[in-house]
Amino acid sequence: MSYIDHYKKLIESELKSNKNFYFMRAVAPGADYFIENGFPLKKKGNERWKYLDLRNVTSSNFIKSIYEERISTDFESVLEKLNSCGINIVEDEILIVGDEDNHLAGRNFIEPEGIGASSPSKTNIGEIANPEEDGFIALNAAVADITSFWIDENFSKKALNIVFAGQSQDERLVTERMCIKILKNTEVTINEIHFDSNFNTLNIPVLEIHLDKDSKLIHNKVILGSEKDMNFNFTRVFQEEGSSYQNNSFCHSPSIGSNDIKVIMSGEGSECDLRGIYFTNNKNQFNTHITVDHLAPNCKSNQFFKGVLSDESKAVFSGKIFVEKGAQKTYATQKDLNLLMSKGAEIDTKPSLEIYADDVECSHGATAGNVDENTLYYMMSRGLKKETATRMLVRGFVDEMINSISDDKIRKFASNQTELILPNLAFK
Amino acid sequence: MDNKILEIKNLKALVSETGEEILSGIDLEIGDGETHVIMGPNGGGKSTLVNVIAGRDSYEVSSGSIKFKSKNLLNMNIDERSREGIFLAFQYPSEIPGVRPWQFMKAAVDAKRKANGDPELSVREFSKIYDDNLKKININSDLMKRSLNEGFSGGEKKRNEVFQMMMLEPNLALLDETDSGLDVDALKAVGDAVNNLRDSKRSFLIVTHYQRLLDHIKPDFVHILINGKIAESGNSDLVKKIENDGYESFA
Repeated sequence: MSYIDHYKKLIESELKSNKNFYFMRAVAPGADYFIENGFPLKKKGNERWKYLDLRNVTSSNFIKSIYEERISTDFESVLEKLNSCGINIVEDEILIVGDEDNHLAGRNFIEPEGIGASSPSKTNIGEIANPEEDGFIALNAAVADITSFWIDENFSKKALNIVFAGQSQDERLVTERMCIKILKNTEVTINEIHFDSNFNTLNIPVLEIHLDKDSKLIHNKVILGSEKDMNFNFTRVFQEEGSSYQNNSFCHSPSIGSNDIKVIMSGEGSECDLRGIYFTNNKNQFNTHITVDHLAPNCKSNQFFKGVLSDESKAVFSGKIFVEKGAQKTYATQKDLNLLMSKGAEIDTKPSLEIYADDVECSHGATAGNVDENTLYYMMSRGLKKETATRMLVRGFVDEMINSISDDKIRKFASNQTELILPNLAFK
Repeated sequence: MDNKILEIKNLKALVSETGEEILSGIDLEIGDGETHVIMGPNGGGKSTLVNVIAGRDSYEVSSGSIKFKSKNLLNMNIDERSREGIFLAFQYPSEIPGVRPWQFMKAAVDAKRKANGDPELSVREFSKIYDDNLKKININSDLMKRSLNEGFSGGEKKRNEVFQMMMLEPNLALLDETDSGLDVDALKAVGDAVNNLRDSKRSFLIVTHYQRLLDHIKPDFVHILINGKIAESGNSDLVKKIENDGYESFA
């Protein structure tokens, strides 16, 4: 039985149990697309994934996880785990994904919407993340566990923390889908946190975010991978007029995975600022895939990513800036800087610009380099051991990015995590 | 007998990558508390000499010896030499993104103290010395909030080198064209800083192209380095001879 047949069965049983026609709009095309195309394994014409070896994705017939199998299912232990990572949060700021009791239910700043519930302001599955864009998104759409909610001006908390707790079993498939709408004039921070679990699991989280007019979202994304798990993480953002979206990603590569962000700048005068750091080590593979579509005039976008690669790991950065004909006065920049710590590490960085407007300012740049020998010499001549100097150099490289994270807790957390990650990266 | 802090005997060194010989038999002794100046034409080996003493590994010592405080320097790594008391003020200091000058100096001072068996300075103790020295060398403290050397002007970088020297209190300071690119005020500041540090336990080896630095710093000895060898040694009168006759007369 091919792996597609396995998922076909899963999809069919999910479709049977979910009779809600309301969501068929996205579920059905996702199901059809996946059954026909499967995962994006083909190399030919597959710009997004061609540098990665995705075969492991089909090595197991993953079955859908249930919430009780999560490593930290109870609320207290999730809080404790966050606490141990230096993130201190209060109960009503947290949403543990997949939790039936949904800890946010009933609170006045947020309204979790059950499947099919009708609300004039809700974002529906598939509205922003096209299920036919990619095999992973399609599978997610076909069998998704959906959380849909909106946040309005009454949201009084510092941040909403969305925690994806790791699995406690091998061969599990996790297909969370969150549809979030930030209402007009609302300013909010969302911290999306993926804990690692050292189990053979296939995680395909998809977030669809709709930013209403003049709203502002700071989205901090933390992916802590492990040697066994796979995490293909998708964020799809739709921006209305005057809205602002900021994404800070901190990724320690899972065995294979991606941070895939697409921002559709549909409203005039909107801004997006996407930044991130990715660490890869061992034989891990990690894809950072960023697309910014400028569809309206007077929008501003920035992409700035950094990678630290060691051992025989591989990272891919592909960043795209698309400027529609009518999107005059677009200002768009893109930068990707990489530090290769070992000879076996590989980075494929691929910027692309597609511009149809004539009055725009766009720039891009990418670098890949080793630790600079002259700089090391300089630092060692001040009495620092080579190891100390190297670590300080890498730390400095990373800190430039971390220091731009606005949320104190997440910035400290990223800083602490870096301290934990560095010894494993640099000196093997 | 005078104590020699540095003894170089028949030192030959080449560029590791190309095998090109740059130093072709240097003999040089520096006594405790002495200030030596090395002058000479471009490509003569002045920079190479101080970098070989500092331990730069893109050069290979093919023969000869260097002793520092009677210890074989050639057995030591770059960082060991520094902790032992050698300091090189770079001609082209590196810019280090994301590394703050304070943090860098704290790590360096701690490393040296640790090697000497001294206790680490508290943040407070360290900060006081740090701020005092910044004032002495007259570096804008806002500048030091940036990444190390990033966005520093040429002169600011050189001042920062001298500042680091003041922080690390070496026994032998090597200054590689620290005076080049400096305006008159900066030149005076560098000269004053060096003069303030001069004492019986600290020696200087200063590479320069210009006699004007010597208006501020009076050397005990002047050497002329041509084609990888010391062509002549003497006192500061030698500088006048160079002014009048150029280097050709020594070749």
